[in-house]
Amino acid sequence: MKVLFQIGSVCLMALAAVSVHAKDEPDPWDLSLKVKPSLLHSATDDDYALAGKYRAKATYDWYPWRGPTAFAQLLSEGTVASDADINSENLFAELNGGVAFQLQQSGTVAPPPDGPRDPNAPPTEPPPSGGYRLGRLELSAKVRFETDQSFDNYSVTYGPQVGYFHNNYKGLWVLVPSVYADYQRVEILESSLYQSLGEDEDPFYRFSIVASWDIPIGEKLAPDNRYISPLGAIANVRYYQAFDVPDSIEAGNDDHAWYYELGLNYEFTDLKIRWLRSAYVSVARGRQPPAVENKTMVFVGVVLAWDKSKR
Amino acid sequence: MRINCHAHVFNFKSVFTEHTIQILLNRLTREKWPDFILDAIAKALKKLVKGSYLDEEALLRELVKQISVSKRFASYVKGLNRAIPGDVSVVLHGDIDGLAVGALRELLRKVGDLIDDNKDAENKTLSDLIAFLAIGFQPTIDAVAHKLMELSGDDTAVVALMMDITTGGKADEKLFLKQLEDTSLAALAYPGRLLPFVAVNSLRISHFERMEWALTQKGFVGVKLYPSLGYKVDDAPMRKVYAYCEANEVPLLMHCNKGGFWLSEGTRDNSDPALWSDILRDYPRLKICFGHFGGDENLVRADIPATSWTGTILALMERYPGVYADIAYHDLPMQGGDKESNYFRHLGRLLRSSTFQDRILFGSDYFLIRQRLREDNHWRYFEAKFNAIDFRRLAETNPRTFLGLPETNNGSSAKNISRYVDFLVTKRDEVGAMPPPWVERLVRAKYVDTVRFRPNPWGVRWTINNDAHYYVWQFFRTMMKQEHVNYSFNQAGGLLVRQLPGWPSEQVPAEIRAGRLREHAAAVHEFMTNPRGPDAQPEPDVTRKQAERRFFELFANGDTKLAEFGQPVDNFYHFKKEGMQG
Repeated sequence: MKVLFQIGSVCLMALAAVSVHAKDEPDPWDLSLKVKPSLLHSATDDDYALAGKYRAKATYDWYPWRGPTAFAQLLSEGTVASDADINSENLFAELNGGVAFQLQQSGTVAPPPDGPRDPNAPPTEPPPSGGYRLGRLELSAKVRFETDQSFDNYSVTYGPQVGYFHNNYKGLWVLVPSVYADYQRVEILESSLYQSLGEDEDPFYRFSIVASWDIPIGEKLAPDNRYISPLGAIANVRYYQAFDVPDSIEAGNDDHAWYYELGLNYEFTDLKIRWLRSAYVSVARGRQPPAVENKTMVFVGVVLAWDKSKR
Repeated sequence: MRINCHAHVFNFKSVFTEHTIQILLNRLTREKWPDFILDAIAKALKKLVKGSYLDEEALLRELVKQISVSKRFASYVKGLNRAIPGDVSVVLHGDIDGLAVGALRELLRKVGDLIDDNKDAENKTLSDLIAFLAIGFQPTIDAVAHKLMELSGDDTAVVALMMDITTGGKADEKLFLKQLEDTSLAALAYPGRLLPFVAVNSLRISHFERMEWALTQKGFVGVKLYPSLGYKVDDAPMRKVYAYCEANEVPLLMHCNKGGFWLSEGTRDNSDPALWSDILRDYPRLKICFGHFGGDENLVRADIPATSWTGTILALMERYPGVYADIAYHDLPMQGGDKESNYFRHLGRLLRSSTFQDRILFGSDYFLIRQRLREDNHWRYFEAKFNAIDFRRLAETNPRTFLGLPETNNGSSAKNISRYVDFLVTKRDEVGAMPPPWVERLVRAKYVDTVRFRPNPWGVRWTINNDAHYYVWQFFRTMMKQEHVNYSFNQAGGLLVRQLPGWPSEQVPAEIRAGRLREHAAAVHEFMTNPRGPDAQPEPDVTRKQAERRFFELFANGDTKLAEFGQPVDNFYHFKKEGMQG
C-alpha cells in the first residue's frame, strides 16, 4: 500500500506538471500542481528541517447546458520534511466524485416589453413567480488513503458525503437548515497509537454533520422597515461521532463532539455608513476535533470594507 | 472641445477569433519582441478567444507562468551571459502563485529590463506592451472606452473606430454585431464625446446593411475602412458604400500606412491612397481621412517623397476638398534629433498653407499607441510641440469640419450629426452623462424645449433596454426584500448582494456557505436558460461552468452590486432578440 501510494502520487504530480506546462486550456480537465518549499521548525522538538508542501489535483467536470452537473477528482496533498519525526501534518491521496442537482424550475417569465422602458420608474409587473427553487443537492463519495510521513500511522477511509444547501427564507423555510454530512468507514492499516495502547486495529465508522440556519429575522418582523430589516440571525451546529472505537477512546469521551453557535448580525448597507458593512455577535459552545476541551466563547465583531467602484 | 479623430475602444475578444488572432500576433511579431514574450502572449490570447475569462491579474499571472516554463526564456537568460537580478530568477525557479498583481507587474518590468539591455525591442518597453495588452484584455468595450475617456479628460471628444477582421462571407456575424452594439452603448455612455465609426469590410456579405443600420439606428457618425485586411477599395460593393456616404454626408476614415494589421504582404497595398484618384473623381464631395497620413516615416525625412503615400495624399488634397489626413500613431518624431525637427517643420508648413491647413487632424490611435506611450502623454507631447494656433486647428477646428459638427454656436450640423442627435434623443434616458453644450444646442434647435436628458448613473453597464440586464433585474426581484421589490431598475442596480435576504453571511460555516453560493450561481443560470423565460443560449465558446464560476465569485463578495451581474450575463448568454434588429 505504501509503495502504491507513493507511485500513485508521483504519477498524479507528473501528470499535473506536464499538463500545466503543455496545455493551453485544460477544459473540462482542470489540472493543477503546487509545490511550496519551506523551512520547518518544531518548537516541541526544538528542531529544524527542510520541508515542502505539495498539492496535485486533477478534476473533470461535466457541465451540460442544463440539468445535473457531475465531477470526479483525483487529489494528492501533504507535507514532506527532511526529518519526518518533526512533521505533524499528514499526507493523503483521494479519489472523489459526485453529482449536483439544482432543485429548481423557474416559472414563466414575461419577455421584456417592446416599447420604451423607463429605468427610473417602479416596475408595473409583479416579480416573476411560479415554478420552484428548493435548493441544491450534492451527492458524492470518496476513497482516501491517509498517512503520516513516517508511515507509522496510515489508513484507508471511504464512504458517502451529502450536501443540501438552500437560500430560501420565506415561510417555514427558515426552519430548514443547510446541511453537509459525511459517513466514512476507516480501515486502519497501521497505527502506532493503537499498538501502544494495546488495542486491535479494527475498522470503525466516523460520522460528521454541519447544519446551519440563516434567518432574516428583521425581514420577518418588519419587512418594510429599512432599519429593522437588515437584522439577521444564524445558528450553526456541528456533530462528530466515531462508532465501534475501543473502550479506551470512548472512556476519554473522544469518540464524539458537539459544537453549537448562535449569533446575530446587522447589515449596515441601508444606513450608508461608509466602510462599516455589518456587525455581529455570537455565542459558541463545544469543541471541534481534534480539539479536546469543550469551551464557551463569545465573538463580537464588525465587517469593514471599502466600496469598490469597478468600471 | 478638443477632438481625437483616431481611437479604438474595441477589446480583443470583440474583434479576434481563433481564425483571425494570427493577424494580431503577426503585428506583434513585426515589433521584434523575443520569441518567449511572443509565445506567452500568443498562449494568453488563444485562451482569451477560446472564451477564458482573463482579467488583468489573470493576464499577468498567465504571462509570467508562460515565461517561467519557456525554454526559450531560459536560454535567452543564459545567452545574456551575466547575472540576472535575484527576483527575476523567481520567474525561472520560483512559485508565483502567491504573488500579488503589483509584484507580477514589477517582475515583468524587470524581465523587460533584460530585453531592453539587449536592444531587441526598438525603444518599446515590456511594461508598455503589457499595459497595451491589459487594455485589450479588458472584459468589455465599455471598460476600454472608460479608460480612454478617463485619460483624455472631460473636455475631449474621441472618434471610436470599429474594426472588422473577418475571414469573409457570414463568418463571425454574431461577434461583429456584438461589437457594433457594444460600441453603440459605449457612445451612449459618453454622449457627444464618443463618436463611433462603423467598420466596413466588403468581405462580409452583410457589410452594407450593417453599415446602414449602424448609421441610421445606432448612433454611428462615420465609416472606418481597413482594406489591408483583404479587400479592394475600388469595386462595385465599395462604390455602393461611397455613393451612400456621399449622399448622406458620412465621413470615411481609412487606415493608410504600411504597418498596422494586414492579411498578407499582398493585401498591404490595398491601402495605397493612389487607388483613390478614380474614386474621388466619381465621388468628389466624399469626405475621406487617410489615417496615419500615409506613414510618419515619410514625414521625418528631410523632404517628403512625392511618390510616397504621404506625397500622394497631399496631391489628392490639392484636387479634392474632402480629403483629410490624421497624425495617429506618429511615434517616430519622438525619437528626437533630425526626425523630430523634420517632422514638425513639415507639419508646421502644411498648417500654414491655405491648401492643407484645414485638412490635418489630431489622432492618437488609442489603445494601439499604448505599446509606445500613454494616451495623456501623447496629447502632452504634441501640444508642447505645436504653437497654440496650430494645435487648435489640428485638435479642434479641423476635426469639427471633418465630422460635420456645427462650427459655431449657432451653426448647423451635417446630416450624419443630425442623425446622431436624433439617436441620443431617443435614448435620452440611457445616456451615461449630460451631453455637452453643442449637443444640447442642436437638440433645442430641432426639438424646441420638449426634450430632457436623464443620465443613467450606470452607463451601459446597467441599462434597462439591454435584455440581459432586464432579465437580471427580474431574477433578483424574486429574491429581494419586500421593501426593494418595487425599486426601479436603476435603484435595484445599486443594491448589494448582502442586502438579499437569502445571501449567506460570513458567519455561516465555510463548507455550507460555499454550497449556498453554488446554489445562487446555479440559480442565475437556471433562470436565464429557462425555456419558459429568457431561454438564453450560450454565446460562442462560453460554457455553463464559466458562467456559474463567475456568478459564484460575484455572490461571494457581499459588496457586489446587482448591476455588476449585467455584463457577465450579457457576455455569457445570447438572448433571442439580440442581433435581430439588423
